[in-house]
Amino acid sequence: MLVLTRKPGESIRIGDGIIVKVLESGSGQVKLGISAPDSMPIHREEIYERIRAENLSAVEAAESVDKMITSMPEEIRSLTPGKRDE
Amino acid sequence: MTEPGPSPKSEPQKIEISDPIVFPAGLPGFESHRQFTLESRSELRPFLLLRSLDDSEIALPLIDCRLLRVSARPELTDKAAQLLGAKNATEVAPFFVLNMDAPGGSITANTSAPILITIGKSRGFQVLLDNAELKVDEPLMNLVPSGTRA
Repeated sequence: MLVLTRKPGESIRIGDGIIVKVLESGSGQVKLGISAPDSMPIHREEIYERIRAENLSAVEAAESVDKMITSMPEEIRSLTPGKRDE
Repeated sequence: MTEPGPSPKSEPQKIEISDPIVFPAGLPGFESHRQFTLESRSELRPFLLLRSLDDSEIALPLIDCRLLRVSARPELTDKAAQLLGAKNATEVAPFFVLNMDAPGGSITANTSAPILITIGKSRGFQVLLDNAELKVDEPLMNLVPSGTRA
């Protein structure tokens, strides 16, 4: 892992289109500003990992279509585009 | 990636489910899978299956958010929709990923990371919303319109 020391106001450039700027530091945390192309997803690591785990769990739980059918409550089964609240 | 904003209350547009849907960024947990199909089976309705074309054993159950309570639907601005390649928010179909075997035996919906599919362009993204009130395991029954609840 590359380790760099930066002060507030200083930046790091990654490739052609990504700039990470240290905005504030102190009180045990660092505030970063990130400039990147719109097509580049940027996430907090712990949130990404939570969604990743949930997706994996969702796939595992859907392995049995029969189970999906039998576990579906009638209120869910009756949901159609015509039945909605506004 | 997207910002909350006014959400149109239009009728769901039909999705051409036979077309492969390209996820340019993959999906968290399945980053190398870029092409999926949206399967609709009568016995599973209203659920859909987002099945990977790279590995047919990988399928995520989804529900169209527009079938759920208005307050439960993810909000999308036209500007955010344009980042997804759509002209405006009405061209984007939002879905929640479902966990069919959540602890307690219930079905839960991941409301914090909806899957957005641009209609016509068949492009998809899973968007991680930065909102602490949204849950990865919201009981699906909490999202059902009041008129359909027992």
